[in-house]
Formats: sequence, structure tokens, C-alpha cells
Amino acid sequence: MPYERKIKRNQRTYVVILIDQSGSMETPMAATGRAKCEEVTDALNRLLLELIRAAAPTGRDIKDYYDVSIFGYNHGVRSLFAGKLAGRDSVSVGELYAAPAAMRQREIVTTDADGNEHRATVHDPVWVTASAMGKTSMAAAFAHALPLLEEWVEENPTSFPPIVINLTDGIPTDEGLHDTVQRIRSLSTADGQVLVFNLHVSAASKDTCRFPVSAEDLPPEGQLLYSISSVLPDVLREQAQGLQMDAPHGCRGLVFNGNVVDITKVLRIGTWA
Amino acid sequence: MSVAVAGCRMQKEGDAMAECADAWYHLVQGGGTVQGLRATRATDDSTVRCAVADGASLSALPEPWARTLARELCAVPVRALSDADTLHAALRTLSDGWPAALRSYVTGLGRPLDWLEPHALQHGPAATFVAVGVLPVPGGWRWSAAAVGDCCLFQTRGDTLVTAFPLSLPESFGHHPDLVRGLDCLGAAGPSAIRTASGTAAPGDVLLLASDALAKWALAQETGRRPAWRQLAAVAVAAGEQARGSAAGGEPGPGAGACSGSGCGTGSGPRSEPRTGGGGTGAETRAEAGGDALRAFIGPLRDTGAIEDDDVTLVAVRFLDDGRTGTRAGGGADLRDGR
Repeated sequence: MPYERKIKRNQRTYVVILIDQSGSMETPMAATGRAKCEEVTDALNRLLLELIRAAAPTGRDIKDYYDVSIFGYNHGVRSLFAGKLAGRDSVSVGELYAAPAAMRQREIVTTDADGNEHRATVHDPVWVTASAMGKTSMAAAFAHALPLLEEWVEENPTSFPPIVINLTDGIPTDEGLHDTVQRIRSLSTADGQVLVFNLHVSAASKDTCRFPVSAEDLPPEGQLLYSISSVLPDVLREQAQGLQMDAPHGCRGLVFNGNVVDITKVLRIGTWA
Repeated sequence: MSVAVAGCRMQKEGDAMAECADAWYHLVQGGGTVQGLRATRATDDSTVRCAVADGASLSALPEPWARTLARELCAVPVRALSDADTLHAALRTLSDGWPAALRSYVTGLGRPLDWLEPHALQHGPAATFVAVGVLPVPGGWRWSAAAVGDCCLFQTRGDTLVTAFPLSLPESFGHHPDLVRGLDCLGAAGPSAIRTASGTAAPGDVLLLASDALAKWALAQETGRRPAWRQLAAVAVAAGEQARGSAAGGEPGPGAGACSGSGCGTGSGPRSEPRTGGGGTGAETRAEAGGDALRAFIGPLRDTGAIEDDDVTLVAVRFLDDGRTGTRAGGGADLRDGR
């Protein structure tokens, strides 16, 4: 059975996240009033923290379970890592742990069974920052990831296959998306083909379609994303159900017209975080 | 008649033994007339409790949580293992103590926390478990078991599976088993997450307790008509023998997972003689010696992909008709006379 390998130190996986940074991502989300790009960036930083935590459940002895790439695309494609990791196409979770670009300080207060308050300062790391302008070079973003994925599956032939998550609010303004994604999805490890998931976010978040089993009820841009999305394997359907998202057998890894919560959940489902 | 307990555990490929988040523990109470029999052997008037806990590898500090859980499950009355509400109350008490245990851990570090540690530790630990208590009854024994998640108990007779609990099919194992958490215990599920079972055992029977990967493999063997129950019992016994052999002085001491505390089977209270397979001191070194037999068995299965590469624990509780008797009226004589 494919997609059964557990992710661990000698059997890692690779997460590639593609972020639409076109001008339309500045539109505020209805639920929060914050720009889509800001919500996406916050969700990404939380996700990276969660990946690190999963690789070091007790907060030390990081196990390099994951390699991670994050690319933003508008008129071009570039790595979104900042600080010491700026310009890197892919990094391990250990490198992420060692080099946050910034820390945001926050105080948390907990109360114990005796009613005593305990205050602690928590530092929230930041690796990527928000921006939005220009076009939607989605095909170019997938094309940029292709050689990295080819190299990774060659070096990790028995691992759980890489997962590519594309976050967008629109349709590509460049050519060749379908063919490039087909090439990516044809790559495989012994545990299955590379998975491609798409999360389409909209400001109003109306008529949200989560994990569809057919493209029938989707508008043309939704049908395009459906056609390039992988079937969600059972292990990730289970992960979705654990997050109270219905993911029927045979559904595609696609959320269309998703909201702020969908951003976080889809990232967690796609990365097992 | 007597009950013998032996077990062993091993870590994932590439991990250190200290990273093994499985733990097992057993406790023998009663049987005060058999001073020479320690730890792994109890006569027919003894009460035996045994538990296997599997710490969730993505939770914080799963190793000490699994050890604590296994130990405390051997401290609850056997009747609590057949009453989900009573056991839930005991588990909640355990969870209530976690914040204090965590503060002690942080204090014990003796250094400021790294930026990641508060994020990680606030999630708390989690584990699955299966626990069984065995009480003597005329002519045999009665066992009561409880489980949360996918650690399993199998009652076997030779290569025949009599009972599988709480899961009985390999496809029933998922990636999100119910868990006992250090924070929020069983969560919204509450006592409904606790499964219970009971049965009777006769001489020759074996109760096998296993963490999920091995349990799933064993059930796949069963459904594929290649039962491995006898083989699994032999592995656990061999591990126990190895551990005994490596104990100081070669005395007839505890099996794998039991520490060298003397008088373990002589009526001591539940917490007075801590013996654990998940222990972290000198006792562990001896205990892990028994892991060689398990490694020899699991290694080829991992190599061929027949079993998931996960922490593995296997414990065998064997019911023996070996002529040993305790003080129980009737005791083993009942059954011997009836044969």
C-alpha cells in the first residue's frame, strides 16, 4: 500500500509550499479584515513552528524529519526564507530551528489547580514575511520546484513522497501549468507519487468547496485546480477527519474558496503537522 | 500453578534506547509463601497486574509519561480495570499531576528554556495503553483488561487466538488512536475512550500484551492463517531469560522490564517495589538485556517491511501448571485434581 511510510529521521519527507503573492492577495479576508497575504504568512510561520515541534516534541534534540521549501510567486518566483536562510531553496527543520529571521515576544498566563497564576514569556518565531504585488506566475512556481523535487526523490527513494501545497486566490497568468504539474505528479518514491494539493482562498469565503470528489460544481478556475490536485491518500484523509474536515474516499486535495481556518487546516493536513 | 511474566521492548531504527517511548510494568501482590520466587513468578494465590504504554512520539515528554502510566495502571485495583468510570477517575488524577511534574522537570533542567521548549512542552504528553489484572479463581484465573488506543492484549492457547482486545483486525489500526494525555486526560471522549474486557484463563494459556506495530503484525499473521502466538510467547520468554541471566549474580530474579528489587512477589504494596521496563537507571541496563531476543525477531520483519518501524513492546503473562502452590484454599490443586 502506498503512502504508509512513517516520517522519521531516516525516512524523511519534503514539503514544498508555493504562495501566490500577486496583487490580489492584498484584499482583506471577510472574517478578519486582514489582507489574505498576512493571514497566509501567519499560518505559514505557525506551520513551520509546528513542523519543528513535531521534529522535537520536547523542544530539544531536533530530528531532521522534514525538508522545507517555500516559494512566493508573482511576476517571478523566489524563496521566501528571510534572515540567515534568505535565498535558500530548501532547508531542513533543524536549520529552521537554528535560524528564525525574527522573534515576536508574547506573554502567556496559565492557572494551576490551586488558582495560582504562572506567567511565561513565549517567543514566536518568524521565518517568512508578507508581501503582495504583480501577476500570478503559478506555472513558473511549479516549474521552479520541479528540479528540486526530482533531486529529492532520487536521494530519498524509500521515504513518504514529497508534498506540494499551492496557496492561491486566483488563476495563473502564465502558460504550461497542467503539463508542469503532471511532470511533478509523475515523480515518486517507493511509497507513492508526489502529492500536489491546492488551497484557493477568497476574501468572502462563500460557496467553499472542501476536498471534492468531482469538479462538477466548481467554476472554471476551480476545475483547473481540481485537475492538477492529487487524490488525498487515506492517511491524510484520516488527518483531515481528525481536524473535523470531511474528506470522502477518492476526494482531491483541493479546497476552493477557503477561509482563514482552511489555510491552517490544509497546511496541517498536507504536512501531518 | 503459577503465573510467569516476561517481556521486552526495543526502539525505532536509528533511535537511541532512551528515545523509546514504550514502557511496560508489572506488579505481583500476595503469594507470601514463596520467598524464593521473585518478580516474574507468582503462585496461584497472587494477584498479577501488567501494563504496556506507548508514548505518542509527537507529544512532549512521552517517555516519562508512558512509564508513569504503566506504573500507575499496575497500582489501581484490578476491579478498576473493568469499570471505565473508576479507571477514568484514576487517569484524571494522573493527568492532574502532570503540570506539577512538568514544573519539576523544567526546574530540574537548571537552565533557562530554549525558545522552542515552551512551545513544545505546552502540548503535554500522550500515550495509549493496555493493562490487565489477573486474580486467582478456583481452577484457574480470571483476568480483567482495559485499554485506550491501540496497544493490544491477546489471550492465546498454543497457536490459537482465544481473545483479541481491543482490536481484532489489522486494518483497525489507524494513525489517530485515542490517547491518555497529560493535559485534558481523555478529552471530550471521557470514559467512552476506555475499552474493557475480561475472561478466564487455564494452565497453558498465555496473555500477550503488545504495542501497536507488533500487535498489528500479529493480527495480520492471524488473519493470514500464519498464527505466530506461540512464537511471540517464546520471544518474550527468551527475553526474560536473557534479562535474568544478566542480572547481578545470576540469581533467579526478574525478567526483562523488572528491576532487581527483592521481594517483588512477596506481598509488597503497589508502590513500594517499583519495577518497570521503562525505567531509566541501572535496572534498565539489565532489563534491556532481554531486548536481544526481541531484536533478533523484529529485525528481519523490519528489513522486509512486514512490520512498521516503530517502538515495540512485548509482554507474556503465562499461566503454568508447574506444581507450585500458594496459600489459597483450593488453589492450583483444584485444577490438577480435576485433570
